[in-house]
Amino acid sequence: MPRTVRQLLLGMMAIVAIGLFSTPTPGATGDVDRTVVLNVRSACVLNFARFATWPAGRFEDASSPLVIGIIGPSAATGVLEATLAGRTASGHPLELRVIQLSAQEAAGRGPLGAASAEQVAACHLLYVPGPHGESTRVLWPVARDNDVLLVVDDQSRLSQGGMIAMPVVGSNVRPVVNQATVRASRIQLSSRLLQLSERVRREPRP
Amino acid sequence: MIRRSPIMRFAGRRTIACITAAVGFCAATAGGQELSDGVTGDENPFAEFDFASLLDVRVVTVRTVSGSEGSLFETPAAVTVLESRDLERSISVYLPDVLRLVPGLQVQRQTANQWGISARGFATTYADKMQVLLDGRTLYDPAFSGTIWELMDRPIDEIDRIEAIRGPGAVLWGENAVNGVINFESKSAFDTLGVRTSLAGGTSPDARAEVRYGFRIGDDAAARVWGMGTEDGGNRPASGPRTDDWASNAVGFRFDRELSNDRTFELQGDYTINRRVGEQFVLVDPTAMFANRTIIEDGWQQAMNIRARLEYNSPGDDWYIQAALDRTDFRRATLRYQRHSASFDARRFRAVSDRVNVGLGATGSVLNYDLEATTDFAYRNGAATDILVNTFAQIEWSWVPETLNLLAGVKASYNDYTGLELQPNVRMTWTPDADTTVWASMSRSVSTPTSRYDSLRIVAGYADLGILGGGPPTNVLVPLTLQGSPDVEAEELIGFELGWRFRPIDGVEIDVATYFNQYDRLIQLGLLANDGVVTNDAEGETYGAEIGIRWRVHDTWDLQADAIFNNESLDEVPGGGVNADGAAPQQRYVLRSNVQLNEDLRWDTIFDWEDDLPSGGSTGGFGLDLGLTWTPTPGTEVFLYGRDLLDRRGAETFANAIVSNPSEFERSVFAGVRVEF
Repeated sequence: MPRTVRQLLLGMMAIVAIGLFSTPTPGATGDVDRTVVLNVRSACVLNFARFATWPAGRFEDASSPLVIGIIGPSAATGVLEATLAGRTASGHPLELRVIQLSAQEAAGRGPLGAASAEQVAACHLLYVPGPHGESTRVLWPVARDNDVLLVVDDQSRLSQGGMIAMPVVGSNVRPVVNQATVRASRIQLSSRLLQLSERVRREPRP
Repeated sequence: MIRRSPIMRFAGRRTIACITAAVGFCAATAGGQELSDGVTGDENPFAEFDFASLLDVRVVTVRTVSGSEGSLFETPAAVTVLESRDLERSISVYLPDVLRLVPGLQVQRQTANQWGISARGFATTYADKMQVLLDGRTLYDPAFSGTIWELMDRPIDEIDRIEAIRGPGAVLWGENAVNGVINFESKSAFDTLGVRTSLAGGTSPDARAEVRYGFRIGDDAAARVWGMGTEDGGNRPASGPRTDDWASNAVGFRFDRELSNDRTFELQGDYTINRRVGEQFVLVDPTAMFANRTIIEDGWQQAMNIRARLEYNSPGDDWYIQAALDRTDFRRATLRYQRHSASFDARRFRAVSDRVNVGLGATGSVLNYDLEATTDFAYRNGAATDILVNTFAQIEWSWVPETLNLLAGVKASYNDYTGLELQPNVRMTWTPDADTTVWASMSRSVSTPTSRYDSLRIVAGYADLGILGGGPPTNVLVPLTLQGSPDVEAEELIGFELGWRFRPIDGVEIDVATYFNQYDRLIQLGLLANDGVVTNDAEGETYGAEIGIRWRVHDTWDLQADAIFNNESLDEVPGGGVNADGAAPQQRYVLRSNVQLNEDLRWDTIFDWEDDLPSGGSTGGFGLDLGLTWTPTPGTEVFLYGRDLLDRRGAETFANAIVSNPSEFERSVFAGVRVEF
């Protein structure tokens, strides 16, 4: 290899090596705009309520409300409230309930206390926004046993019991359905939802 | 953890303060209030979107070269991404056939086990100007310059996504990414837990069985093992007495571990062996002047590899290091060799400021060949070792935020045959509004020969010694050979591209890519050119356009229409050669329809027309593939495929020097059941 060629290559490799292993510049990271994501995710939650079918007995009658719970407080609470206001799902009026967990429950150390468990069990759909994601693992057993559709933000929460996640992939929100946890309940999701979602199977970790 | 896309890295990122959905979401948020904990916001502008449109809403991001993936819509390259949903609807049994869904890719199945796949011309079997990768590991074999598709047979379900670039992609993917890059990404083991089996049979292939088992290992790791077998017999050679049968078997595994929230480790390996019966080769006849003989060969081939990758992903910074070992036994009547290779790859993409992102990387490969001489095709050096080293640097600059973005990169590569090669690339995107992107690109790419070209020796025919000398026949036949040369240089492309994407109305997206490629120093293998010595004397140009229209007619019905125009004007190579033109049709039109008939029934259709090959091949005419998939219960699918129902394909052929006699493929029916639990 000619000397000049070798020097040029070595020089480039040195630059690459420095770049590869140096520390990133602080503050140069990118952000997803919260506002649009919150709105899109809330609209997705509304769609999930419309695409899901609960087993007979979960509604007292055809006009009783479909209860959507949200673990709060968080920025998503107000957005979801605005999204659901005045709307219906399969003829049921929508009712939003904010569920506040204890510090231990919020940290995912369980089991869920009786008061919280009762609130969760009363929901048809429970949305766990990202900041409260750690609580997913303690919410899962109650959600499974009471046919509560457990919706989370991050895909990593699917292995903690989440049934549908709403990660940002590329420049869109892309739902991911965990067939393992959905099938553990008696909730049926429409093929339309399944068709437009990524489907995975992640058994919840103990 | 969101899987990052290498193609998106190729494209760079735009720094965008606000990109809106078609409804003009900026107005909605600008007029709204700052959302804070527990504060009720304004009416959600997306609340009444139908679900499919909701998923098309582009969220407002500040993107970085290494942040969340960029949008295909704003990519400054002719890129197609096939996701698992597209693969399920491909009406294909073999992985290479899936690539027929990519507009602008020419996919030719030559025999039961051989495919020629290229973009924008040069569509010979083992096309030498397409780079092909599986999880970032190159499948391109420099031994004869091409991809051995038959040794990467695996269940389509193993693949998570396919990213195909038409046009040069050299900066990130290296030499030989001249006319395009195809990158297959396999599924994470976390996404394949449980059991999946598939059993199917039909007229072609006869039978195929696939099985996969995925399981969790502790809290943070998962693995899967898979195996498959195919029996594909009864394909009819274009001439000759016997059928062209192929049996393909493969096993593999993948292990994934989440080391932390932002670090993952992957270990993957597979082994493929296939057996051929009755494959025909047309070889020169040493007993007669300028005569050929057909031989029928039974044989086998195998390949194995193992790959490990450590990957780090975080907003604004990601990197990976990867190492792979490969072994390939390529065995045909015309060429036989064993190759061992080891490769290392490291790359990093990070944001250095709000408007500047950089990408850096280095790759090294050591390839060792053990070449076996055959009657017609031989190398003077039986064993050889090649070393390939390259580095790349890429910078992306948001010149006018939200509107104008520049991407510049260069790859410096060294091989011990042609020396140093520089491959620069400049790209630009202009986004005047949220529904329009205009992009342009200029690049230099090279297709590098290896030392194989130095010691190459091909017997192209036998001639009478006396006649060759201008006298009477002597009945002494001497071989006419094509000789390699130490002076062969890299083939060069200077490529210009201009593209336009826009959304005229809600639900419709139009993608137009045009190109002008100027080739220089093309390798000539023609026997009658240059006294039978390989040279780089040929040149030429290609130009064309690819137009794609995607229309979501209804929530349950997607339509896609593509029109591809390609013109080649390459130097005539006396006696033929690897770079002869006319190997791809000049026009092709494709219409795809995917309909969800009801909750359980899916109907997929591919209808296309292409003209005859300018070189005189016979692939032209109408083609029709139909697929019906019924889901009687969750996890169970029954499918019925009808392929080439108008019986157009016949022999899809454009051969090069080392492939076998083409087979003809008739209309086929294939049906089976998949069960997942």
